[in-house]
Amino acid sequence: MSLPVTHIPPRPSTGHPLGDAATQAFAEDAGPERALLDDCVHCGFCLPTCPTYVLWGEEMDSPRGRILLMDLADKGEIGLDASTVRHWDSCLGCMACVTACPSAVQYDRLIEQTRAQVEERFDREGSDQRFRNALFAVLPHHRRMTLVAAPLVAYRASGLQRLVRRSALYRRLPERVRQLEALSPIVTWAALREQAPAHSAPASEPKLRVAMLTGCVQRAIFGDVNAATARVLTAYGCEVVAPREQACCGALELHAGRQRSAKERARALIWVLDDPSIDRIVVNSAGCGSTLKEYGEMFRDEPSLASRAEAFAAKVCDVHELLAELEPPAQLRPLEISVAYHDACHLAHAQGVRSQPREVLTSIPGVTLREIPDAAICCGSAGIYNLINPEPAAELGRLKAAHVRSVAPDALAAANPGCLLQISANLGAEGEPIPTFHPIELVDASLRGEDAAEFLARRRALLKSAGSAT
Amino acid sequence: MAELAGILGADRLSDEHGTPVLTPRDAAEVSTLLEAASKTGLALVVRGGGTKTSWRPTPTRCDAILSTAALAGIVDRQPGDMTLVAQAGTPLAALQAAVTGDTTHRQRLMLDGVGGAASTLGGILATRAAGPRRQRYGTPRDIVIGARYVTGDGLAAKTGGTVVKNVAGYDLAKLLIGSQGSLAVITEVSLKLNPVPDVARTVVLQTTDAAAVAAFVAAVRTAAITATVFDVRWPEGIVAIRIESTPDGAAAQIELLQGFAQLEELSPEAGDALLEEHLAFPFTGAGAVLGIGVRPEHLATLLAAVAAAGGLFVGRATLVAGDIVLPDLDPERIGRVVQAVRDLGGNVQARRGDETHGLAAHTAAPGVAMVEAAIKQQLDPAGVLV
Amino acid sequence: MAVAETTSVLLVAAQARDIVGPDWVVTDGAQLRVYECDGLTNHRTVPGAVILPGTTEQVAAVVRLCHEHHVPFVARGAGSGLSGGALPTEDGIVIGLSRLREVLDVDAANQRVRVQPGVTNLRVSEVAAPFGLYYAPDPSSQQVCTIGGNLAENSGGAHCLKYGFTVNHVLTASVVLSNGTIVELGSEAPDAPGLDLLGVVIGSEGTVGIVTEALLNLLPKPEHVETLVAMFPSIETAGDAVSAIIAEGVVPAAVEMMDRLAIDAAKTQTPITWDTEAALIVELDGPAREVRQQFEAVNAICKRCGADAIQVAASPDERQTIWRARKSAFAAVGQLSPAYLVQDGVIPRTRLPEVLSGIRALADEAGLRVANVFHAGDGNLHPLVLYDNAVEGEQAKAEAIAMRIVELCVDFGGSITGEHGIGIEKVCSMPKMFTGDDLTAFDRVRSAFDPVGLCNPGKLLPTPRLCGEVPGFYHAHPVETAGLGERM
Repeated sequence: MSLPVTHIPPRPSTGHPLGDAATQAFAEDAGPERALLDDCVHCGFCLPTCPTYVLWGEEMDSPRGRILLMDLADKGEIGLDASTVRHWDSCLGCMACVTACPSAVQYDRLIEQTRAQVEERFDREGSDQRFRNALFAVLPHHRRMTLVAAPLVAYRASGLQRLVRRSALYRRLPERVRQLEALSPIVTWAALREQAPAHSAPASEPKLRVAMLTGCVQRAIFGDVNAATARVLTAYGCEVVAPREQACCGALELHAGRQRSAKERARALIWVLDDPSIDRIVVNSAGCGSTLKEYGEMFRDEPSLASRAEAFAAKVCDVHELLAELEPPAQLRPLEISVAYHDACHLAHAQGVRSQPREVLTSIPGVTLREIPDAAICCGSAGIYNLINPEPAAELGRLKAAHVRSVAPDALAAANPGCLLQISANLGAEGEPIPTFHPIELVDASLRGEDAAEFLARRRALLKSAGSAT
Repeated sequence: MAELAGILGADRLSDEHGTPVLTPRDAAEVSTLLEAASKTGLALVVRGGGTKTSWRPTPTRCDAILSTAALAGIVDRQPGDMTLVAQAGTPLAALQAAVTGDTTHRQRLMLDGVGGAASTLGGILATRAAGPRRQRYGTPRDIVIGARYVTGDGLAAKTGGTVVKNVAGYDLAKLLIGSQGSLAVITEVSLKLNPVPDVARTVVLQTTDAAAVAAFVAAVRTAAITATVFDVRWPEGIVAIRIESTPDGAAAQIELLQGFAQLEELSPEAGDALLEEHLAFPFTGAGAVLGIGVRPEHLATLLAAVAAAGGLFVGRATLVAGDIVLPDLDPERIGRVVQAVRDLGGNVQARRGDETHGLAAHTAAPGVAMVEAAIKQQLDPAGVLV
Repeated sequence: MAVAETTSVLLVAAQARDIVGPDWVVTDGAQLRVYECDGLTNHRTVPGAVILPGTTEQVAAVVRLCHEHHVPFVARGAGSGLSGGALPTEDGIVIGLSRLREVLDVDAANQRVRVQPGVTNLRVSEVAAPFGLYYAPDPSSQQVCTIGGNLAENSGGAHCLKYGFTVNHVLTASVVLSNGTIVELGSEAPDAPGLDLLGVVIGSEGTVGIVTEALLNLLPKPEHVETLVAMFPSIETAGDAVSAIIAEGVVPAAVEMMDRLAIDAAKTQTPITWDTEAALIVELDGPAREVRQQFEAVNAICKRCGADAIQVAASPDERQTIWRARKSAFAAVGQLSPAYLVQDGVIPRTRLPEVLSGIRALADEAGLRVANVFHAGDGNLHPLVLYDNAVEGEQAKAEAIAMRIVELCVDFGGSITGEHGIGIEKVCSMPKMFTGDDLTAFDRVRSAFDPVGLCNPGKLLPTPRLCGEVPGFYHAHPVETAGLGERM
């Protein structure tokens, strides 16, 4: 399938450089590391994997172009103006380029370091800044998230959503608000209500004792996935603790350049989750997992926490990594479903976890896998990206949905809340909806002996009730 | 005549039915000749073995023939690199004999000797002639790796080189191949050689059902077959496939082919004879001969059109390219065949017959014609080479 | 830059907004900087403007503007070229073809595919795969390089030993000439009468026009593939094996060689365990039984020539690992050295040992390391000259060595480039390989396509301004004598 050429240009970033950032973009001893910048040999292998290059075909919206801009900024050849910031802002942080790079350029670190400087030295225009602040005032807080999400669910359940979407008023809503609204379809009352028990244990002697990250967005709107994860881990012979007092891991903020607050959250999480009796720290959300694995690096320069953070990071694993290691339990029952597995960027590119989720899915009797074309390209969710840059995110979402549809699966599975929301919204946009799940939900359904047809029908009905006018 | 004799010396000048023939000994003499001709406004026709003079439009004027006969011989052969450099006037048959005669290295030159023993290397390039084995080895443009040439105004230059891989500079050999001697005189050519296979086996399918032929060809086309020859003779109804491989490889492919249709295997001698026959085909009969090419999907339609016009076709089954020999030079008959090929979006080149028989010279699209004219102007500004 | 030139570029940029839309014209200083180089980073020039057309007609209209205002233009695909072919000129514009990336038609029955120039090489094989077909040219950068760039450079790849280059696989191309005329070259059917202009355009490095569409020939995927890696105690013994394989009458799909340094680099990127001075990769493809029979012979030859160990790819995954190791070697050398130059030269295969010891001598003399990765089957060398750009003068030393290496190739009867092209990098080395008359003939053909000299000026053919006086070559162009333009 060939990719349609978009005619939507990247959203301009508005604002102006603070202090001397107009001439000297980055503060002394801050910004992207020189040695990391020099690793790039300009070969261009990153271009075809970059979602924004796929959309626009512009060099400055490719990893190679962004690195060149960082390089020029670092050398003081260009300042921190809106036109430059825009190209760093437009990066989804999917890290597909990191996978593709033959020179092992650490673009993930480069963009994080650059964004930290942008947050400090670039004064975003009022409305943009307020929107970002508002997002960060809600997203990392699962209770606030629930408060926001609940009315959305009620609103959809009431049938109002369909009415509103047909209205003229809806079309006049800012794209950013429409996007927020459109992402709500698969959130259910059950999801908002359910959560993982603080403690669960298998009937027999546990093989491992694991701590589970419940997350912020995940906990708030995919509580049912957390509950399923705890059940599945228990069935696989693990004792699971999911401390209630845990909060956001800091991933969303870290990826947006808000390093300081991200670090505070990380510090708190280490205190809550770490315990010598814990064998593994299990994560079911790709974005969080990749950040937890970086904690060692994050506290490298803090002697009091460095070794502890490193030991913590070493225990972190994605739930699929753990399940692939363990013996599948005997009670997995057939679930005749063809599943398209979507590689979440923060699982495939950031953590290199590609085969394990597939192994876990195919360990379910009856499940057949369908590979999605152009799997390496991001779905457009990318943390808060689809909220801040809704137009390109929507375009990528449509592309991903088209690729998913091209292999005609019964269901789609993805191991990240952002991807699930994004792909569900787009799969629901036209034609018969394809139900979406976290892979763990499928394992859970198999363990519970669900009937495949009924199981799919329930989720499909949910999507249909959400309807669509977009 | 005296003027011409003055350029290269009287011993280089002869007469052929009243037309002077100049036979330069080397590229320097070709250069001297063309430079002088440019200044004096002479029109020269380049000739190698003279076997395919009917393949090009009849020259409107010809003050003298420039013969490449004295530009003969192998310049360099590197068996280890599988390359050969020879002068353009060398007869192909002599070259092939020299290469295959070296039994230590078991190599061969895969230009097909269309036109018989007298055909020269330069002539084959100038006419872009190719035979049955283009199926596997391509046409001159795929085998030539470099050339030396003298432009119409006497500039002696080279393009490409003597190594098999090279992208330095423009590949002007491509431009000269098929240019009918209209831009420059090719004086020396570098070529790729190929190994001689262990075995060659030929099988034939006999059927006069054009649809069956097309179906068989389409099936074989996507199968694991590497044919050296894959020819159709029509309306005789023969499809011939020559497999050249290791003993096991040939056996496996013949087996596979037998699975598609009932095929008869020829003796090695008969297989070679069939190849020779196909090489000679464009020179048979006394009627018009058309070199044609159509898209693969049109094979069956082409065969039907050939039969309907009372012609004979021998050509490559999957490319599709080959020759149509007609029983006479009847413009109406020629016109029907030409129209049929054009209707299929195909190409026609006259091999025997000209405007008087309804075979109009090729005309390029306006933009292309503009570039062609500019190239002619750049390489042969005085219009010496006609 | 003269004032008049700046005005012309801005004029073209301004008018181009109406043609391609304002979003696709780049004139902002910082944004222009990202177009200042391609894969050859030691040459950089910021263009006057970058224009990103979305259709063939838009390309033609932009070129017409350039023609009207005498503004030179440089076509750019993925910008992955290694000879600076897409290096901009400061008084000109870059026409980026990255938005022309549709696969227009896959014609499985006739085994061909029609694509726009921004489609990547690998994508062509991907869309052909469901039909059991593939596109044969496979440059190492195939996942990023585009068909437009492939046509410009006449790209080959590891498998061109058996299957030839881009020029052997293109049926037709739409080309926008320097005056904005769109011409269709080549033919969908074989044996078109007239001059083979397509054969000239392919490999012309963007100096005669811009390809905006191409019809490519596809091949059926070979029934069977066998790949081995043979470890040799020296480059010389591996070279002997190559000659012996060829002498046996086998035409492998690919024969590649890597020396220890290149292997070390590849190890940083791929899980290979090769521990040897020279690794020889041999791949055969074709009908299964033919391949098996020849593969046995190749295996025996490698042993006879002194291979210490032979590793045969047992699965497609293992084959892929071998090729990833080979294809990532260039960029992976970045892991061994802060900076390096990639060189590209060709020699007659049989001269391999002599040339390699010559390269070693040059490297030792300069005190630099040289890694060798090459297409051994066709004598196409890729020495990688490692250096440290933080050390004063080391880059110049590396550049000097790289140039002496290609001169060495010419001395041995080879070529200064096998696939990367002349571009800007080797333009002053052209006289090493070609005489003044050879170059004059090239220049005349160029002028036939581009009389005003607007297409990618300063590339491919040497000019006095870049290279000093080239004996016997260079004739003032009418435009120059009329004072209308000046050469780069």
